[in-house]
Amino acid sequence: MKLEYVLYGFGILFCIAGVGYLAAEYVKYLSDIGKIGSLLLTVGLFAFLGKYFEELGW
Amino acid sequence: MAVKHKNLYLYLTLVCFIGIILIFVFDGYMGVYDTLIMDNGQYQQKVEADQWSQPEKYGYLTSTGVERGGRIEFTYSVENHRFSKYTDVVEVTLFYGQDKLADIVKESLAVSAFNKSELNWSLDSVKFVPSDYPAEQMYNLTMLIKRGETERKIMINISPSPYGIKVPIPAPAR
Repeated sequence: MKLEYVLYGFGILFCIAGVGYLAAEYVKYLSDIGKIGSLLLTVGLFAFLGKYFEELGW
Repeated sequence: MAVKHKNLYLYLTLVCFIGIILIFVFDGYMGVYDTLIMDNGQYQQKVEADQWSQPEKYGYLTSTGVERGGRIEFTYSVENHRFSKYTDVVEVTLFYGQDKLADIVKESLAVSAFNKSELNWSLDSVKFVPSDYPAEQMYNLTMLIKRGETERKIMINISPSPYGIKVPIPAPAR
């Protein structure tokens, strides 16, 4: 059971790393307005995700 | 009620994620993109917009070749993916080393929003290779396309023709 969670953890970590790498590569070609918009939405994304987990009792 | 509240934050997270993806797609689409098609009569070569911006990725300078006496047809198209009209002057100049040989094109280009415009010109190798240049040697020219502050460099390799130089002979007057 615990091994499954470790594997899930690895999977999630690799997913985040992969998406993060692709996003970092793509951000180089974004315009300034696009960068600001993406930054604000990223902040919002993590804020809402945090709020969601908070509501779940994490 | 509490369940709905929890899901609301999850939906907002998804909205933010979709928003980021949409910005990536939209921002990638917006802009002014130029494409060059080079046709030397034997094969057609297309140089896309992203190829210009990353020459190090492709590892070579854009080039085309033609036999001496041949002709290359160029089609330069500019796509305007913006909400406003795009206007600029396109200048095409031919160089041999550092020496300027000729101004081939100098035209004002106007492209309306989300539209495309094309410029055509041709390069006759007979006109630019000196007559006393050794027939067995390759002659290399550089063509510079200047559009506003954007510069595109193309190498033109004029190779010796195995069938001799094709010089068009004008028809005799009747």
